Amino acid sequence: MLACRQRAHSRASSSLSARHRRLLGASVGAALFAGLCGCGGGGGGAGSSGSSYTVGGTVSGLSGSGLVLEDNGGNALSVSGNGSFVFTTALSNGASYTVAVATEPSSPIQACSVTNGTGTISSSDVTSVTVSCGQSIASSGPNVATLTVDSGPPALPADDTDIDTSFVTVTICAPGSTTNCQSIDHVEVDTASYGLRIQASVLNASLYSALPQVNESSSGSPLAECTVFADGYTWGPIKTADVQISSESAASVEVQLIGDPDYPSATTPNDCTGTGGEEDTVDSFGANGIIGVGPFAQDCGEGCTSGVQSAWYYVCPSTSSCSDHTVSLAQQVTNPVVLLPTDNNGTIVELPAISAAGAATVSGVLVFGIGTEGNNDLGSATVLTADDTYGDVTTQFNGQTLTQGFLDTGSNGLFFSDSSITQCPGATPGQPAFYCPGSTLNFSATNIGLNDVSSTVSFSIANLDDLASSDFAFDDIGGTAAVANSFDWGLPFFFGRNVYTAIDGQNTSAGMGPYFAY
Amino acid sequence: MLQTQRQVDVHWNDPGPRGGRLLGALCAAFACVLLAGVPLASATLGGDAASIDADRAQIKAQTGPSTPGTSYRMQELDLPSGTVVHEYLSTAGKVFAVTWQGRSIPDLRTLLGDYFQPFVAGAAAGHHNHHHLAVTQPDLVVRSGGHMRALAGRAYVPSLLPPGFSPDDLN
Repeated sequence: MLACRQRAHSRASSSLSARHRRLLGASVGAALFAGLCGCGGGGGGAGSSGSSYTVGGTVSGLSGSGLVLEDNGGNALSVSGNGSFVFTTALSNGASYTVAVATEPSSPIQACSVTNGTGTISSSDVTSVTVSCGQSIASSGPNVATLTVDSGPPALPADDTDIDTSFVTVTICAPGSTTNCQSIDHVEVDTASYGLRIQASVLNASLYSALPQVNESSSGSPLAECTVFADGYTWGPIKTADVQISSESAASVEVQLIGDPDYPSATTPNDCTGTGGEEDTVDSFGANGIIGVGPFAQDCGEGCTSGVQSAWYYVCPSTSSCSDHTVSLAQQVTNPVVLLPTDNNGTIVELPAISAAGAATVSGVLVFGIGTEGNNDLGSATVLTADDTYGDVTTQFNGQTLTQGFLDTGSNGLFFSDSSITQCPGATPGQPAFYCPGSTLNFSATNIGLNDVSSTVSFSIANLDDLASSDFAFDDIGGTAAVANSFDWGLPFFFGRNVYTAIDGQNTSAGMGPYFAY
Repeated sequence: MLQTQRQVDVHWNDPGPRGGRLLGALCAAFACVLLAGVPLASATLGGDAASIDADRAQIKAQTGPSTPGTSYRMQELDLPSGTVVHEYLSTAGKVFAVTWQGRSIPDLRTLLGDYFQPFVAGAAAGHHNHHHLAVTQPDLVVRSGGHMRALAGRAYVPSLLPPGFSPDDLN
């Protein structure tokens, strides 16, 4: 119904950013305008009489309010539901018509596209225009946190900025305190790790000193962790903190402090430093922290509760003398989502579609809970059950069956192997694994869940070197897989989709996690 | 290097016949490398066949299956933590590639030897991508990837690849 107001402003509002449209939607009382305008829904309008013919078609996928269509730049038509529509102004035989979206749905935000939208009247009514509306992005709610794709922490030197990395702001408090808190921006959101890690260097002294050390229960000694990522490790102690994201809070969450001066680099255990490079600063890590909201509740899981350990958890009788040790699930770094009082069964990453040319910044949302609130229904999303050991699905690509398929906001490209795609010239170390084809290439791959449900995904790979260096968000970049049997669906996959991650052992409207859905 | 050296010293100082037999066994594992004049730090990637045994001892692994190829032999090493390492030895007698797969990354300082520091320096120069790493240098290629609980990677020296061997054949 917002469309009534926007009809007069449709030209201006169609050029507003998604964020502005959302603000507009939130600020205007829908009921008020419903009463004032009495906008019609789809359908209706003049029938054909004499030499006049109508233009119309079908709308599908619409869930938001505020969709306005136009024909030939005018004759605005507000559409409130799926089904047929007809423009009120009839056209003469031989007249041309051009149907376009004047205003996209704003509450929630959706992107709608028109097909068969142009033509010439040929002695009959036109009924073949189709308008399909896709993604719906939650606009507000206590379980909604703003998700931003940009150049990263302001403190990051320009030559350390990264593309296709998504960030959220997290508030950390000393356990039980409502005053000894700090809001930490640019915490990377990662659906392929589990648990919260914060750079010690970004904490103020008061909060830093107030976070209690976790002592491993069987030994009584302080617990520390080597978090091994593919590109390096983070080293530091396990602390507890209250964690607030959006308007929801989790109490006494086990988190890792990265680069804690009490656990200096020089005394980091050898089997940790032997895994690769140290990433214990904002510059070397690329973020003020990382929040792993993938499909598991603990970072290591059962593998760290017994058996021989290496480069995971350590007990440290002194901070310079740490040795590999087992640790119970309860004391492991925990995905904060499962400790939220509500909306704790998973997350949704909702990023809008972007141009193939890229975008400087993108704003979307991270939503907590699946099917627990009015704004986090699964809707018609396809549910792909993941295995409960690794959280993977199977991906079929180019006739290969890849057993490690995963949806990964923590990767800045689509990483899969296709030797026919030209790789980028090796000017920059680390970059040659990206693809730089002569022109943009189109592909498809099929993800298959353990539940035998499959979903075919179309994607494009552009030449990274041809994309604007001033942009930080791209939906069409990728490179060779680091692991032969893997398809790493990095952040480019997430633009224009709502991607659900259900956590292992958590119940949802579509059954137990772990699963991905989109 | 220091740790490997220390292990040898400990056994060297162990007196008695048991010590003597240990020395004999150690010759196979370590001392021959020393006698050949190859620094232990360059054992492993770029090292010779004996360096594989040295690695096995250093990372406390069990010897797994050995797979022969036409121009190479692949030796599996199974770590107690469950991580699996494959070392590729060419018929020319050089370890030209190392791969790994497991819950964590094994001790690459040992497995990459002299190539470890160039690897770390190359990793620091690339994009921040915590689930994907590519280091490409004229004499060293490293790919590391996967996600938490499931990491894998491979490192190889292009100039040591046997003729006709494709890095895609590494597993």
